[in-house]
Amino acid sequence: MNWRYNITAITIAFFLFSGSGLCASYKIYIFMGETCPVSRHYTLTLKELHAQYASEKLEFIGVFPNRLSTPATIAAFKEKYALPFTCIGDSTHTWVNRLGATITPEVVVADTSHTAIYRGRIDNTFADLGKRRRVITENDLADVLNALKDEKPPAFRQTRAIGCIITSWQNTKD
Amino acid sequence: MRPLTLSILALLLAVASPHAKSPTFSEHVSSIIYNNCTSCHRDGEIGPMPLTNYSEIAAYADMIKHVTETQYMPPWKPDYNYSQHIGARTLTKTEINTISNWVNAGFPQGDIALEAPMPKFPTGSVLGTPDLVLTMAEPFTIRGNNEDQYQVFVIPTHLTEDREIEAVEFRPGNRRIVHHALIGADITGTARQKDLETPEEYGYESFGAFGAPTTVVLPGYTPGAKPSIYPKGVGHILPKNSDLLIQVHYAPWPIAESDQSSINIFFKKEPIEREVGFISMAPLTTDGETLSRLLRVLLGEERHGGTPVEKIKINDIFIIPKDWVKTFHTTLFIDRDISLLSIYPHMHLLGKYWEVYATDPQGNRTNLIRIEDWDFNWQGNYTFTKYQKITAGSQIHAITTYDNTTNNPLNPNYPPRQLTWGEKTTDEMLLLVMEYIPYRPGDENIALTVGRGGEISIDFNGNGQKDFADFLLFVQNFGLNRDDASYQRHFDLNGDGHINFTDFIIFANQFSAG
Repeated sequence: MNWRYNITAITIAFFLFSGSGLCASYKIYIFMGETCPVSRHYTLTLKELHAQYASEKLEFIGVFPNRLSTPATIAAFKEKYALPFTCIGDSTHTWVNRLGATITPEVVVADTSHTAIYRGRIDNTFADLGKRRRVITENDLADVLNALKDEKPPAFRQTRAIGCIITSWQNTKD
Repeated sequence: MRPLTLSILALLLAVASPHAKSPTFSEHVSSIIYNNCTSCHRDGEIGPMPLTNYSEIAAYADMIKHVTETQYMPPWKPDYNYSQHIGARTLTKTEINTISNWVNAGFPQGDIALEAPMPKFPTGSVLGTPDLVLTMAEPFTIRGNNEDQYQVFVIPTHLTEDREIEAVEFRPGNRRIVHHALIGADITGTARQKDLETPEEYGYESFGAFGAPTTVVLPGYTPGAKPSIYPKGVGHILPKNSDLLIQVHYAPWPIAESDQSSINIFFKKEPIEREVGFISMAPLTTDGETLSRLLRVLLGEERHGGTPVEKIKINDIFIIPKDWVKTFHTTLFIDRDISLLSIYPHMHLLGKYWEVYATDPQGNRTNLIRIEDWDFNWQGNYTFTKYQKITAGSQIHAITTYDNTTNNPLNPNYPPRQLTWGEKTTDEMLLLVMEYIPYRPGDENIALTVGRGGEISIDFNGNGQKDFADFLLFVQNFGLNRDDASYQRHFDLNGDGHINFTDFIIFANQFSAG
């Protein structure tokens, strides 16, 4: 096992145990792609949401599942778009499989036992690929975060994220 | 269905499939991606994810399958089966199926020795050494607030005499953010004055068009498109002392970035016999007369003894009430024989549908363009693969549909509001501009092509010679259409999806050119 997998394992272990004991804590996992234009587009919204909602009990984590993601590409993306939250690599799709993400950008809001209460889009900016709404009418993630801030966790809800499909490469024949 | 029937069906499918074994990247997919996607999908270009080798392409395999199956990519809005325009960026059904089968099979790489060569992408001009290079005076920095930005830059030509133009090539300074550009020339000084009125920023903002009268509109830029060259004896005139106007559309971007684009201009080597004129259709009133006359003057259309448009009619006043889906039928009456070179349909964010066709006095129909899913961001000037002859007494019909309901995600108003003509994002337009020249017998057989020199190669067997062997190869492929399994793109010299007489003319011209 090379060093990269060791680091991934340590990172996963850290996130698995770091939240234990805080039963009212939630993590907002944001699956993103360094070269996915829809991910890039949402960096601005994510920064605003982070400024408004992030706290000890609401932690934002960027997860990068592209098979070519490296610590260097993630760090460069985080720096270029000034992302104010922790970003981790997931080229082995541990988090993709655990949380059921299929698209970048897609958010999964989960409690410390990784039980999701929301999975899907950040808001309804995109009706489809290339169809950018001029007036955003649904702020799905903000609604969930507002409810959590008020300590009223909503029932599980799922919406369709629009963006870049995460390639499932477990069956690749290369 | 019984198992036996299923087995027979499976067998038939296996036999019919060109890649019964399941395609590999090296042998089947690399040439499709490299020749259709990589010109934009590489470092520093507008395509966001690089697709330059197996690893990069495999990492996006499921996405590539999705966007090609839905024909979101490559981006080409006109309906290919309705009418043909040069430079069409489309994949054949066979190519789409090959990608799909490859992804379904787990995107195997295969034998790397069989991988297609990467095309040579030009680093400078694709046309050669320009006669005049006009560059934005300073870099322009976009706001970086995730909104589209449409900025007009005014660049003095300093020409001391009128010059005849063979080709115009827009060179984006920052290809990641430049989405498209429109180019025109102003001799009134209006645009220069507008620029002075906004001293705080370079250029001025204008969504609909240039925000100033233009005596000539030159071919614009869309990513991946090659600049077209006007045929022998045909071209535009760039007036002396004119200012070149470029309206650059910068894509929505979350952070500030800068661009300093330039324009290469190529003068005609031989005199122009037929100057390109414009037909514009912009019906605002019920008879379409007022605004269209104004636009004709703005576009400098009063040449060739006046416009060939006798009159314009529209079936309704150009108003789109809220919560309505509304269709307009506009008709242009043409009073003399002309040859059309290109067509530029334009509407804004409520726009959904464009269809333009001509009918001659005998009732024969010529399809000019159909866009089923209008997208403001992919508007463009479409050059026909050959001149389209429109005879005197013909009518050009335009059918346009607008969706002013909440079902239209691009609707600039929520809830919707009544809209009519205007230049702002929140206004609408129904504008059609066509380039034309007076007709001459034989025009209908002249192919319009892109690029110059190395753009078209008839050395099909790659032996460095244009010889009889190439001619035999061409003949063997003559008559094939793009959805035929054995269709090969490089025999389709004008890229219109049909290997036909038009390609033969191009072949013959190239052949005789030595």
